[in-house]
Amino acid sequence: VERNLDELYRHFAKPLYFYLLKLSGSPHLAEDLTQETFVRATIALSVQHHENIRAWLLKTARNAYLDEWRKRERRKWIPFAESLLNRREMISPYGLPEDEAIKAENQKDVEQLLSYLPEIYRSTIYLREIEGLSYSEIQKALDLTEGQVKVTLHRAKKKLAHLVENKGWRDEND
Amino acid sequence: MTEWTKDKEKRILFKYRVTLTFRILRVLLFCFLLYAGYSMITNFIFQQTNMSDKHVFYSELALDWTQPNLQTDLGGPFNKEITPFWTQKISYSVYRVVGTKSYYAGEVSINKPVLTSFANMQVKLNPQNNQKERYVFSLPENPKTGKKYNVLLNDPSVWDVLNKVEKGTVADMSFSTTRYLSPEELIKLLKPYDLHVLWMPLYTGELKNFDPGYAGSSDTLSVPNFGLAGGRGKDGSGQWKDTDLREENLKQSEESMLKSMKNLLNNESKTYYESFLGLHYLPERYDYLQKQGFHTYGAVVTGPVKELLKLKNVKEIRDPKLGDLEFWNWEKNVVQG
Repeated sequence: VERNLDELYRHFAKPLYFYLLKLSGSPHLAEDLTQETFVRATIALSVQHHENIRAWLLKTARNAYLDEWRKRERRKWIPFAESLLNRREMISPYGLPEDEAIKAENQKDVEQLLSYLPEIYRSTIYLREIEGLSYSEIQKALDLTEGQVKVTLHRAKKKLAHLVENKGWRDEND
Repeated sequence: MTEWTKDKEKRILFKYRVTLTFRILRVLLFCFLLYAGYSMITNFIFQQTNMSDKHVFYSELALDWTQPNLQTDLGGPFNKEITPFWTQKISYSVYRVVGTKSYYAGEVSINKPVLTSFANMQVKLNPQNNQKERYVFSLPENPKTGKKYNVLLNDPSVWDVLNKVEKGTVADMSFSTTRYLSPEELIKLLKPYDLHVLWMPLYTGELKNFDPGYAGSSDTLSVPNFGLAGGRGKDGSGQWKDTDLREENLKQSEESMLKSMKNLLNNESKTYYESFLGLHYLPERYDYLQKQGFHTYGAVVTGPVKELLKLKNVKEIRDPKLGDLEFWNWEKNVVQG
């Protein structure tokens, strides 16, 4: 079992890392959250079998990211805790402020604009367009219905297009 | 920083294993601390509330009534602990009186879970004590047929041993009687001899009103032991106990026995006094003693061997059995307890 798990984690470490990197924006935090995903998966896998391991691991990774964000939010109330414990910056589930996206002159990559979207839009676009997940896999990974996946994806693309437009990247022919 | 390398993969998998190990250890430590804390609190409450005292008292009473010449150290130390599931584990030592001294005889272990159905009391005696063979009393007549058992069954080896041992020795012995006697009559019968009466088997309606099982031959008929020991009770200042049966404390011992039986019947369940304490047919025995009074058919006595030897000539005594012999420890009219 341990060997199987090792092989499984070796296989999924890379896509999980990049997904978490997209969510958190920090390579260090993405590493930490990837290993946290594996810890959670090991504990949960021993009691249940999952048909779609990829979608389930992505869901676990997303939860690890959201929990990390909540933990940091709670620590804000403790004096000096933030400076001692949360040295690594992370992108919030709400996304970076839109104004910053417009001001950031050096960002020419559309993929990088994802950071300015709320987490659910970011996840939906990333999983669909970059990881190539089917609608049903996204459904499982994000705990949404098929209709919600389609609507979210549509809105996410619209929001991204709005950002692209505001930055003046759109060609006149588009 | 953001590209994928083999080192990064290794690092992630290594950190995952370390974190998992630490997390498991943390959970185990937390469970252990929780268990230790809970155990400490339950034990503290248990030690402070004296909730085990009742079980100790009733178990001692059960021993008084069913185990001839088995004494407990009154108010003496007893080990008690409680498990996380509120099972009370109690143990204490028991002693045999030979002469005027008590000699260690074994241990009593009580296991009392919350549900009395699973409670038990075990008496572990030293192997050399041979309690079952040593204290067997024979009824003077068959309660069903009325057949008299008046063959004396004088085991010559008992009197022979008592005759041959040095007089600076004390011993305990048991015997049956050729007829039913009241405890007062038996005490009077033994009054001329310098002895202490430790225990008397009582007839409480066996084989007439209830059937507790029996054993015997053509000249003997024995039923499970149930008898009168020196009284035991509780009062405002604590507990009291008479080690032996004397003319002056006989009434008190009888009254305390009836009172304790009544308390058990009124306040405890049948499971408690039967399954746990091993006191079978307690309501029947109590009714019999209340209505018919106390009738004994033997005794356990202790004293100097030469005084015991004199019992050979008492015509009411039959089927003697010798117990332990010990070096001299005797003073006339020493009152214990």
